Amino acid sequence: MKKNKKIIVLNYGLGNTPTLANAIEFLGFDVEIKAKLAKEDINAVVFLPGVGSFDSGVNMLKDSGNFYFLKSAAQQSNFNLIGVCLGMQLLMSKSEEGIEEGLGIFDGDVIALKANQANVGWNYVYSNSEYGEGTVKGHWPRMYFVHSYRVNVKDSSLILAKSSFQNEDFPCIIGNGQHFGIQFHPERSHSDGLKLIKNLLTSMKCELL
Amino acid sequence: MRVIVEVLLNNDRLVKGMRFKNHIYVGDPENIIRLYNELKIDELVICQIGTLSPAENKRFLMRLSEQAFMPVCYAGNLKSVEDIDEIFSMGFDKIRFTSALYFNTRLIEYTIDRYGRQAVVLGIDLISSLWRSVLRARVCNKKNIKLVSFQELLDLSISFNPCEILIRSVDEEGMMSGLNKAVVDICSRASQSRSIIYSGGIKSFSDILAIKSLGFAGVAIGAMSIFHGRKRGILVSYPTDSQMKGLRDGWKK
Repeated sequence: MKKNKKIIVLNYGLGNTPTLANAIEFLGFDVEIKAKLAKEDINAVVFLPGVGSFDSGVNMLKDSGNFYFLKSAAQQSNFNLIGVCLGMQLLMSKSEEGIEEGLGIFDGDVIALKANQANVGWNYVYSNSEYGEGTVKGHWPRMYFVHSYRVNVKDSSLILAKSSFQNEDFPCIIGNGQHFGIQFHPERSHSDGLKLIKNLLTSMKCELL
Repeated sequence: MRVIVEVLLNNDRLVKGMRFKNHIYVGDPENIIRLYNELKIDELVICQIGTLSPAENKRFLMRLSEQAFMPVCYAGNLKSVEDIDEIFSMGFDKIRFTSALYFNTRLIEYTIDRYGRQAVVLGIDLISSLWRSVLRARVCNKKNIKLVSFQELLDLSISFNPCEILIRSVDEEGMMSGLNKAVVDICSRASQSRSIIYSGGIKSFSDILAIKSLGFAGVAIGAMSIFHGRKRGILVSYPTDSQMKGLRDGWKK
């Protein structure tokens, strides 16, 4: 019998772990909260949440013994990583918010929003990507954002959806089919956010219980 | 503009009263949060008016935070940095400080430093009547209630540059009496420079529209989302989708 793909929410000390895990469970998937990833997780889908600054995120990942595991596991084709909020920013190579190097899973950096203030609140998300069909494409869902920095990916084909703040467009979902970054909080964005999580997990061959 | 629902917790019981008195039990908190999920409310504030600290009430508060599929702010009974850490570890998105503005600004500084300004809302409880031509705000701790200058508290709030400032008219709390024009004017003047949330007395959607027309960042409703009619029958409600759509026109789409 084919084994269902494991879903893990990584609790490395910075992030909205219980809420994210509860949203995944609410959707009908089995989910585990783990503080440290191990060899047996090399085929899992790992959610990387995060609230706080870039450097503190990198350092907490290092202190918890997950940083180098994630870097190396991301090279394996069966491993999927979904960064949420700061977790998305940690997938990039570097950030102007700090001096530490990120996971470097996507080529690009993290820069401050031009408005020099936090984008806090609900906002529409739009997508021209085929990937967004049924989730964001043509639907203009509203999602909940809390961030002062945004990612800047070198390869624009990685951008699956955008949003805007004070007339500045920024990528709010990036992905290469295997790893994804989400700038907003899908777990706090009602049915639109839950639908996005469900579609991502389904695309990664995760099965409902 | 956001329409924020604020619920009051007396330890683990959901209650509502008038002017912070005569509280009655209004229902099971988890069930009510599930209803708010279905109503797709913009944001929820859970305000503790009981005596339990976040650590003493951890399991219960965590369940509430987990059940909510909207952003959740916690307020009330925060005394130490450990309380702050506890709240964020449960998954709450923001903390609102009110009396700490007067009694314990260290907590606010700590939260901004560790969790960022976007996680901090500052609250001011405004007394609508003037005293010797001075507007006052109410602050309280375990031992006493003090009335202090509203303007000084507002200036102090602004100096922290929080995510937003909530101004609540104490005399209208839970009353569903409609807007107090004098209070709304005061708040409206403050909202010229800051992101201000108005709270107090909201009884209908037309009150919410009036608040929107004045340029507020949001409005907090309490009794309106729990009670229905003059006899205050319990009925969990929220503006309809089409009403909310009107409020969202002009969003950053």
